[in-house]
Amino acid sequence: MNQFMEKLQNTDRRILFALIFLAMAYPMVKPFTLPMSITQEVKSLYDFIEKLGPNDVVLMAPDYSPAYAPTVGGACEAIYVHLMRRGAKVVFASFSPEGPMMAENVIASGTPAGKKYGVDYVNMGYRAGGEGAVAAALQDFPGVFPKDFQGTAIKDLPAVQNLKSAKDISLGVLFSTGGYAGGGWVRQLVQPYGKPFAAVVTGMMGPAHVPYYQAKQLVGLVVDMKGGAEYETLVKRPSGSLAGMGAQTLAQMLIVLYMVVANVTYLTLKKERTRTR
Amino acid sequence: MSARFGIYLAGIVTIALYSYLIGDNKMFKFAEHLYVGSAAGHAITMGYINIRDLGWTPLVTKGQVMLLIPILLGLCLYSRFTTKYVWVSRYAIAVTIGIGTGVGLRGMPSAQILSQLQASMVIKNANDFLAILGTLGVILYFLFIHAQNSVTKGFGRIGRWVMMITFGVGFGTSTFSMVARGTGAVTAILRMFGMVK
Repeated sequence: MNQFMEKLQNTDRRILFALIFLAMAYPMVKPFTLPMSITQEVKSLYDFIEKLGPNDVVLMAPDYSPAYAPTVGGACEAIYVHLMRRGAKVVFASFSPEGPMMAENVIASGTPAGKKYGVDYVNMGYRAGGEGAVAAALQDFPGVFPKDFQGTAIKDLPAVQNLKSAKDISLGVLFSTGGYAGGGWVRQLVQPYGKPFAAVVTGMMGPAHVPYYQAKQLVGLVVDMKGGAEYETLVKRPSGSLAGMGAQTLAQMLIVLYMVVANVTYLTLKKERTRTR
Repeated sequence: MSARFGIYLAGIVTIALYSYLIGDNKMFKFAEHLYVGSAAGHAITMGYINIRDLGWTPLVTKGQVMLLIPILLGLCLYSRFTTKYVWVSRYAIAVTIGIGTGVGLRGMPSAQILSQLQASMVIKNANDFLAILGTLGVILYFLFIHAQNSVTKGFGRIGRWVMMITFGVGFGTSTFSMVARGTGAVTAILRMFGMVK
């Protein structure tokens, strides 16, 4: 028994990695879905967007890198699709260097037929400066984004012609994986202009953003792949996040199993060592 | 053709990067350098576009001479490469930090102190009660970490439990996030073999 426990405790870590890989790969090849509840934070954002229409301009800041696309990218696409269905104008403006590329990916995969670049949606590119750039853009949008990502002047883009400052925005949505995150937008958009704002963040940032939602400074909060999967369910458009939830579930179960086995073996061997002394 | 090439490149580079789990090797080193190089190249290009669109072009075409100030401050940062004139860069850093702090402080009292206090003082359900209890517990734990009596000790214990649970939640959600990121890597590998779309 003890020999088995010792063998188990000294399992080659590469075997553990391989098992994690298999646990993640299997549900992707043979997808399955599990029952999932919709959290109030996600539903409230969905409900808010349901009230938007063609006269509304929504500022989306995809401030995430390709490495984080599986965590917040699914939600970005689902929210974009929802906004397109509502007929709202979507303005992508990034404050992270990789942002414009992420926006291009979302536009490529989520734009419905009939929607036109420059009229219904636009990608304004990236501006350096973090929270300072956010504050400047909300104060004087054409001054900070005089051209779009492709170099087209703002006067030739009907989607942003009436967007002068934060006062013209109906909703701001940040997709963040670090940095100043939702707090910065609450400071620059919600408090000074009283404009609605929602945050889509990674799992580790989620708990830090809950107080903003509880204080009604966020109209919605989407956390990680699970939040993205919830939004995809609400808009009835299964995509990356829902597909990844099977892998997420199996991998998490395996990690919990690792933790249980590691603790059981550790405690058993410790007890045995104490007894033999 | 180019899409297929991209899929293979993503798959191969992902395998190369994860090969580090077996041990350091040349494939990993190549992928690591490729990643750092491409990220740096991309960041430089984006930075160049920013300086061109917001600095240089308005300066030379519209005569906005005020833009000379940030451009000169930006150039000052490069004095860090010399030991004799390194002090020049400190002015640029001071201005950057000053502006960053000023902008960050705007709205901070109402956004992150008053609104949070207001929200945490409303009791509508058991969760709100727990939030108040946890907040008081953590505050009292740190305030009376040395001078404790029976009341502060009890609250301090609650505060310690709240912090441990919070750290546990943080660890759990971090793992969740890491696994979610891992699905991207697994997808890239499976896509290379045509096993997923």
